[in-house]
Amino acid sequence: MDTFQFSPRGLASREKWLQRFFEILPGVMSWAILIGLIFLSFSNSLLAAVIMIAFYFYWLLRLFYMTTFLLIAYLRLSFEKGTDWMLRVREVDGLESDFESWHKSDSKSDFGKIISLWAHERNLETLKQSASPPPFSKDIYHLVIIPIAREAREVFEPGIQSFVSGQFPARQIVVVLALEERADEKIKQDAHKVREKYKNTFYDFLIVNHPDGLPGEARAKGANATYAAKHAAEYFQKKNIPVEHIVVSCFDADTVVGPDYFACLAYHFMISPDRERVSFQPIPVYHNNIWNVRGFTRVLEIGSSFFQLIEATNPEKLVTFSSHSMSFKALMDAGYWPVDMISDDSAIFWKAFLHFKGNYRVIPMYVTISMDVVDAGSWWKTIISVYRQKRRWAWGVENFPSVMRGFLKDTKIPLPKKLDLGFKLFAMHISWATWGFLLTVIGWLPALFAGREFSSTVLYYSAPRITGIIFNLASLALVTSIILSLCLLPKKKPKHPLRERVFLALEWLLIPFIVSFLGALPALDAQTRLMFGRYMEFWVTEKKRSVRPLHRLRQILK
Amino acid sequence: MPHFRRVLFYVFVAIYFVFCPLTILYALGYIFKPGSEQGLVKTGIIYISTAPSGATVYLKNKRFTHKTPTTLRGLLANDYSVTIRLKNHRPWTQNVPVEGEKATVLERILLLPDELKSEHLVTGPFKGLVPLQDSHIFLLTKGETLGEMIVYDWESKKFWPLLPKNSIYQNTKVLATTSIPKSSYLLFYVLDEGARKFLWVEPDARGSIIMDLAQFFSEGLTNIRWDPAKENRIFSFQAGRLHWVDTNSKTGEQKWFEGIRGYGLYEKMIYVLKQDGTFIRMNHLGGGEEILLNDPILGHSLFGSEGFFSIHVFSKDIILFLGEGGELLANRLPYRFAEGGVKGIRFFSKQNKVLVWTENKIGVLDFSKEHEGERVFERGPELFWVFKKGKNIEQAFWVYEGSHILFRDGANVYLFELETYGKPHVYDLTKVKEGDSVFYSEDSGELYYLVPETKALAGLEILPRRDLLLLPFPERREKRKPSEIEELS
Repeated sequence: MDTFQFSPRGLASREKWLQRFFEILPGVMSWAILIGLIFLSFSNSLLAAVIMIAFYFYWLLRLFYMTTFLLIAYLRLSFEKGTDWMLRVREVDGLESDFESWHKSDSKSDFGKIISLWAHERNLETLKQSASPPPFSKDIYHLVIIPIAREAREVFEPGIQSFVSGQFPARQIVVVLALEERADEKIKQDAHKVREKYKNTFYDFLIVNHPDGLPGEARAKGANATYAAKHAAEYFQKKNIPVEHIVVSCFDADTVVGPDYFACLAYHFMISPDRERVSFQPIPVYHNNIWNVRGFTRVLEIGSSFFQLIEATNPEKLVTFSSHSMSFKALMDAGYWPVDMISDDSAIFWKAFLHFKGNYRVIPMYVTISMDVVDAGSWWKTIISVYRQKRRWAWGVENFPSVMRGFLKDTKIPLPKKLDLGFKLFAMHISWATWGFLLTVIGWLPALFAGREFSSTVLYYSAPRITGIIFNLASLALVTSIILSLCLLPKKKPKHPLRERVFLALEWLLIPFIVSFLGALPALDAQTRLMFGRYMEFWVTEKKRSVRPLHRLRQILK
Repeated sequence: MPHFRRVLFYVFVAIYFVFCPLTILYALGYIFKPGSEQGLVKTGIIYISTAPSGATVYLKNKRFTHKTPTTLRGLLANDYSVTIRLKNHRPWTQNVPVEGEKATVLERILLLPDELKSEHLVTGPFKGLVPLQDSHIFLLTKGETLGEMIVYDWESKKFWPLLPKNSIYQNTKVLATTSIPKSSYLLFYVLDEGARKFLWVEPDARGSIIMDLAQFFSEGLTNIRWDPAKENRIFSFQAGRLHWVDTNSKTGEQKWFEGIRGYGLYEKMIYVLKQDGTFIRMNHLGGGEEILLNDPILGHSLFGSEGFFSIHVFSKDIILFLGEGGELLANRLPYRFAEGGVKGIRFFSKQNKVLVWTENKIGVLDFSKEHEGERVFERGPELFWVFKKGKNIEQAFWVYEGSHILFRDGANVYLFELETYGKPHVYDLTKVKEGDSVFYSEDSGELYYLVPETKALAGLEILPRRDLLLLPFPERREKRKPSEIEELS
C-alpha cells in the first residue's frame, strides 16, 4: 500500500495547493451563504424570503428526520441497557451455551430484549458466515490511553476507577497515562500516585512522558496519544501479546465508562469479522458534573449527545468522535493519530479510511461513556470556555482538505462513496456554521429590510404565518428532545422534583442563543481561521470538578 | 436500518419536493381553483388594522370571522367592498382593489366613536390658544398681557400662570409670540411701558425664567429663530442682514451677515441663501463655510430676485424654502413645488413626508417615494394635493403615524383620511371660534381647543389610548438647567 500523507504539513507543491484550496472552500462557502443572504435581503427581499421559506421547510423536515432517528437511537440505547455483554462475550467464545435458554426465558416479555437479541443473533450469523474466527476473550487486551496535560487527579482518577468497576476483567486492561512533559509537577506526582494505587489491579499501568516540541508535532492531544501508543506497541511486543488481539481506547481525561463498556467493546470486537478495520464509537454523555453546571452548558452538551445518538443510527457514515476505541493493529497500520492536528478523534477515522482504501468503518456501540460538562467557574468564563471548546470541535473542518486530497489521490474507493462522504463532511460543517444564523437572525432580515415593493406583496404577509407554522411544528421536535433529555439525564434526588424538571425543560428555551453564539459562531470562527491559514493548537477545556469520594462514581454511571 | 433510513429519506425528499413549491406558491399568493376554470390562480390579500382593534370585517356583506388586525387571504383580483364595524363607532366602508400577488394594505384605519367625547380640561374663558409645535406645553391667553397667559402641560394635564403674580412683566402687552419646534423656550415681542422689546422666556411651573433682550434686539426684526440644538444663540433678520445674540455670554452682533435672503438652522449649522442666489452652510460662528449651491442662474430662476425665504432643514438632505408669498421650493427635483399660497408646512420625519397647506388645499410632499422606477428623465418627489375643498385652512397636523391629517378650516376642525384606495373619509370633528388656534398632540392622541360657547379648554380624544402604545415612544425631554439664565421676574 502506498502511503497517503494525511497531515497537512510538509506537503509537496501540488498537494499543498490542493490542501489550501480545500482549506479555504468551507469558509468561503459559509461566508458566501451568510453575506449573500444578507445582501439579498436588502437588494431583493422577495427572493430572499422565498429562499428562506425553502430553507425553513428543509430544516423542518431535516429536524423531523433527525428526531425520528434520535428516538430510534434512544430506544436502542434503552433496549441495550440491561444487556449482559460478558454473557454474550462468553457465548462468542463458545464457552457457554446458555444463550438459547436465556433469551427464551426473558425475551418474550420484553420488546427491548427481543430487539437486542435479534441484533445479536444477526451479528452471530454474520460472524458464522465470515471466515474470520474471533479471538478468545481471554486473549483480548484493552489498551486505554489517557492523555493528560493540565487535568487534575480528581478529573482523571474517577475514569480509571470506572475501569476497575467494570464487568470485563481488569487484568486484561493496560492503562497508559500519556503525560505531557510540560505538565505541572503536581499533576505528574498525582499521576504516579494513581499508578501506585492501581498498578496491581490492571495487567499493567504505564506512565509515558511525552517530550515537548518533538519535530513535526503540534501541541495537540494526538501527538501525546501517538507517542504513548508507540510506546505501548513496543511494550506489547516485549510481552509477546499479538497486536491483533488488542483494542485501543483513547479517552479524554475526564471520561468515565460504564461497567459494561469494555465487555461491550470486547463483544463488538469479537463479533466483527473485519475487526481490524473498525473503530468503535460509544455514545458520549456529559453526566459527570451535569447537575452542577449552568443551564446553557447542560442544554448544549445534551444536544451534543443527541447528535451522536442520531449519528449512531447511520453506521455507514459514522465518524469517530471524542473518546472512542479501535483495533490497535488498525491504528498501527494507519500510522497512529495525526501528531499535528487538533481533531485527532475524527482525523484517525479518515486517516484509517484512506489508508485502508475505504475498507474501514465505525461500529456504533449502544453504551454510554460519561464526560465533564465545561465549567470554568463564573458564567462569563464558562461561556468563553464553551465557545473555545466548540471552536475546537468545529476545527474538525481541518479534516476536510486532507480527506478531499485523499479522495482525489485514491483510485480504489468507489466514486459514489467518495462523493457521499465528502459531501456529508462538507455539508455538515457548512450547516454548522450557517444554520444558527439563518434561523435566528438572517431569516428575519427580508421582512426587516423590506422595501416598499416587497411590503406590498402577498409574500410579505404570508411569510411570517408560514414561518410561524414551521416553527410551531419544529417545537414538536423540541418537545421530544426535552422529554428525551429528561429521560437520559442521570437520576438525582432534587429537593423540589417538579420545579427542577420544569426549570430543566425551560432551559431549552436557550436554544436560539445556543445555536447562534455557541454553535454557529465558533464553527464560523474555526472555518474563517482555516480559510486564512491561522491554524489552531490544542487548548485544554477547563473542567472543574469538586473533589469528591470515588464512591460517587456509581451515581455518575447510573 | 439502512433500508429504513433510505426509505424514510426518499419519503422526506418527496415531501420536500412536493410541498415546498406548494408552500412557496401559496406564500406568493397562488391557490388552486377548482371548478370549470380550475388551475393555479394568482390571489391577493387585504391586510386590515384598525384603531381601536377588534373590529368586525365584512367583505361584500359577508362577515369575516377574524377581528382586526387581520388578513383576508386568497382573494381573486377584483374590487371588494370592505366594511368595518365596531360597536359604538362609526362604520367604515370602502371599495378596495385587490391585485394578484399583491397585498392591499389598510394599516391605519381610525374608527371614530359615534359621538366624539369632549373632555373639559380648564375652565375659561380664554381668549386664545397659542400652539407650540413639538412641545409638551401650549399657551392659553386670557387677555393681551403676559400676566394673562396660562401654560398648559398636556402631558401632566397641569396648568399654571406663565408669570408669578409679582412679576414686573405682568402688564406687558404681547405683540407676537415665537416658538421653535423641539425647543423649550419662547420669544415674546412685547410692548412694555411704551417700549417694544423682546423677552426670552423659559416656561416653568416653579417660576418662568425671563431674560430681557432689549439691549440686543431692536425693533423691526423679523424671522427670529434659534436652533434647538444650541438654544442660547438667537438669530434674527432685518433688511437683508442677519444678527445674533448669545443669551449665555450676553453678547451679540448686529449685521453679522449681510446680503442674505433667507436662513434656516439645523444641528448647530446655519443655512444661508444669499442675495446672489448662492446657498451656503456654516457653523454658528460663521466658520466651516460650505457652498451648497453656487449657480447664480439657477439660484435666480428658483428664488427670483427679491423676497425672504424661510429655510426649513428637516434632515441633511431635505431642505425646503418657503417664500414670503407662499412659494415652496426644495433641494430636490423639480425644485419648485408651489408657486405661492403655501401657508404652512409640517414634516413627518419617520416617513420623510411634508404636509403642505394653502388657504384651500392640503397637499403631501413625499420624499420617500422619489427615484422609483427607471425613467429616462429623473423624476423627483411630487406634491399631491389631497384635499382641495378648503375655505380658510389655517392649521394642519399629522395624525396616527402620518395616515390622517387633522386640519382647521375656519371654524371647523376636520380629520382627513390619507391612506385610502377610494374616496377618502373626511370627518367633522368639532367647531371652534373662527380664528382660534387648536393644538393636536400625537403623543396624547388628543385635540385641544377652546369651546366656542364657553371659551374653556377642552380635549377631544382622536387616537384611542391603547393604540398610543403602538406608536413610537415619545421623545424624551430633559429639563434644562437654568444656571446661565438670569431670572429677572
